Amino acid sequence: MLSAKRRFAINLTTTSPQKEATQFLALFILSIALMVADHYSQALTHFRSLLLTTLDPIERAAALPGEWYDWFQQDYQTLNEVQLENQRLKTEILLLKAQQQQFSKLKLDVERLNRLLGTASQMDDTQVQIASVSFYSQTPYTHFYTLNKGQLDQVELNQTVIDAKGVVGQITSTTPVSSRVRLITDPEIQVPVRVQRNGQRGMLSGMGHDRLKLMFIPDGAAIRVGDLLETSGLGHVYPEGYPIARVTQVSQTQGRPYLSIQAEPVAELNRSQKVLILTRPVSMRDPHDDD
Amino acid sequence: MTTKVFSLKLSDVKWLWLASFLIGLVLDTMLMISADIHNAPSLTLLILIFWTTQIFEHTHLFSAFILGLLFDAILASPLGAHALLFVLITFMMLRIRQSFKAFPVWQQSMMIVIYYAIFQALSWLLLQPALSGAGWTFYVLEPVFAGLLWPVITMTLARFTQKLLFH
Repeated sequence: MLSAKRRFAINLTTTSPQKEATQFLALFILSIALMVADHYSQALTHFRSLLLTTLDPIERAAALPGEWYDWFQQDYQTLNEVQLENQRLKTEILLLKAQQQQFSKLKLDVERLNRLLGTASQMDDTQVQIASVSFYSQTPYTHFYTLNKGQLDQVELNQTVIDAKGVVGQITSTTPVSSRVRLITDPEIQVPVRVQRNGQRGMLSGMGHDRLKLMFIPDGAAIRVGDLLETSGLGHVYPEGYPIARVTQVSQTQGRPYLSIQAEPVAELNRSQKVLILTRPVSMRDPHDDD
Repeated sequence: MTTKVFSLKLSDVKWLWLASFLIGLVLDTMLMISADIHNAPSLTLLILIFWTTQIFEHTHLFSAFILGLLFDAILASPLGAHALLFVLITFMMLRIRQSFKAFPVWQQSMMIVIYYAIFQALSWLLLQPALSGAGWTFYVLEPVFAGLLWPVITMTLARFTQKLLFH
């Protein structure tokens, strides 16, 4: 005890202002260089992946209380509730199977019509893999999911993620065992879309807090509240034809060439537990992807 | 030129130092993924400020940079953004840490409110958070929450430090 006190008492040195200023300047410049590199290039993708892999135990530890709470709740679910849910799921599967039969027939019809018209088929055989949402984050800075599938499951950057109702977002970083999905409501995300009803094209952008805005729709365009927006496939990032949002408000500002349009996501961003990661068909891949 | 002041040695408290940052990061991540709390002040930054004002033999700027980078990875913000903010706030604290340590806790809390307000203002400029309605109120109130948390953080860590050194 005495030795600890003595050792504790004799440290009287502090750093010099010159050393502090030099270190500060060096790290200040390095931080700005990192920000610029991260913003304007993909050079730091692997570095971010390395940081996320390092942080994986911390994220798992942070998710534990929520998982325990869910587990505790599930444990107390009655047998009757489980039986009811099972019954509901069986009915849902039956309906989906019936719809699948119709879909197969429609797919054949479209292919036949395309052959008659001499146009290429728009229906790509996109492959999917199911992933669970490990956690969901919605801060003022960013909105994302962390999924339990990563590089070991062949998850790649820029893959589109959907849930049962529509587009959820895009894979923006991966670690060997997990991946991050930037949600469509994130202010950094922009998706080329079209109005399902009339094919009018625009750009959907996140506004945070489950809100989206549809941009570049000219004044006088035939768009109304309730219109469904779907991915247009332009830009070769999001596959074509997936529902993404519904128009909630259309307003006109005098003197402006474009309408001010707000929309809400059709996907259940706050509630989805299972999502599908779409593997981009070869026809949609950017030729520079393999470089 | 070096100044002589009474302070802790990092080698005496290194495990507590490391564990406190790990716990800070876990708690910050927990608050971030929580469904209800989206505007909590960074506990990791409070812990960093605590050690900056207790261990005078280091500048803590490199720790601030690494913690900021980890924060950027957790929050999915541009790499370097939080590193810059953490380094800046730590440097500002370095300029006054000797007098800060001599302040009573309530006065330290007031200083923390001012430093967190600067942190928030710079975050707003650099990262442009999407805020609306109540989001704005909580964003503006974050420095006040940080000031209220400071006595808890400082007392807890000071107690653990005392236990580690004298038992």
